Amino acid sequence: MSPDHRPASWFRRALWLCLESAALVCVAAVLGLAANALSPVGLDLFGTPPWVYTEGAMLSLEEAEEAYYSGAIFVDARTEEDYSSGHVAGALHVDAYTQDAELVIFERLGHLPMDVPIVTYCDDLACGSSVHLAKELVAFGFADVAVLEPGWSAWVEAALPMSEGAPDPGSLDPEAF
Amino acid sequence: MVDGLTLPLTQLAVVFAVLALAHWISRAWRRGTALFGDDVPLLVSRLAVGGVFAAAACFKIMDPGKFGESIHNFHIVPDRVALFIAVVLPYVELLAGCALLLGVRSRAGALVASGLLVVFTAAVLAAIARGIDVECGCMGKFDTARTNWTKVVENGALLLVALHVLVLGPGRLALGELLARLRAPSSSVQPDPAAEPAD
Repeated sequence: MSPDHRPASWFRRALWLCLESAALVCVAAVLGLAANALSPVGLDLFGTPPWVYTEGAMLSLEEAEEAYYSGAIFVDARTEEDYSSGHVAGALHVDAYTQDAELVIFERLGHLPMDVPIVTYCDDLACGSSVHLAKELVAFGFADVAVLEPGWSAWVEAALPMSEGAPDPGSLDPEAF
Repeated sequence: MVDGLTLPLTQLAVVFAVLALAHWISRAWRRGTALFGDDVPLLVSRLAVGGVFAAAACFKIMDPGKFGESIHNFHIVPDRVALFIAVVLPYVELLAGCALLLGVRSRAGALVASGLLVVFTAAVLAAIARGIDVECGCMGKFDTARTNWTKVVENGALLLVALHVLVLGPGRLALGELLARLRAPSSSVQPDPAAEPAD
């Protein structure tokens, strides 16, 4: 707008700067939407978001307690450190964001029948790793995978069965995978 | 697993903020002539903020699903909006980062970066206030740090560095300035006071 050698007023320069910034954001938005449409890892903007769990049930604490006492397998989706410092008694451990989740699931849950009821959990209402892991388990082939929605913090608050200690590395030979 | 790769972002951000502040203060002290001139400190500030934004953008672009999940975990915006943010925001960061790195439209880049940093900090503060324990997702999988006060300090420091560029301009060691000089050879013969960064 204004040539470099002519001093523009403070107001005009600020306005121009805002316009330039708005243009930058608009170009970025177009670029982002175009890249998303072309990308193999693009998101479906009008479908169900990938973090919503539609493959199974979201359990309340009461429902999860009932499942626990009727023999459901609990799987902790948090980090190994979190698991070791306290977890649902008898729960197995699979870090939801581990590199080869499929292999770890095979090692630690591969001995279970595919229709065994499974409940995953992470920290609290806000954490997403329980849903992430539940999706991995369904993709692996388990048919009945639910998520404990309020998570570990609600379990602790209700003083339900807990234990401590490092996770069992699993008994199945990864070579057989 | 990625622990070894976790970047000491907070420490770096604070160092760059101290450098920017030192330049700013020395400049005010000596009435416009800073100890090392204006160009090198402004270049350092541009590269620092630009580098952080461009890198953060790349990590997010690699895995938009994970980034969307991070936004969702903050529980601030509805899912539909989170999807759009996950797709668009990394590219806003990328363009702002590139503008700062190259020195083309750097003030616009700095303004956008400052705006984003204010929004990010507000989101982190809201998470802290509500006691939500979330992974911030700020640098994709290379920053699995939980949102806490460290993140607020880091953002505050980066904001200071971005404002340094926003207020004082890109300096002469910038592609945009060079191009402007080439386009207007007559005005570049003698130093033009109007083209100097004004505050």
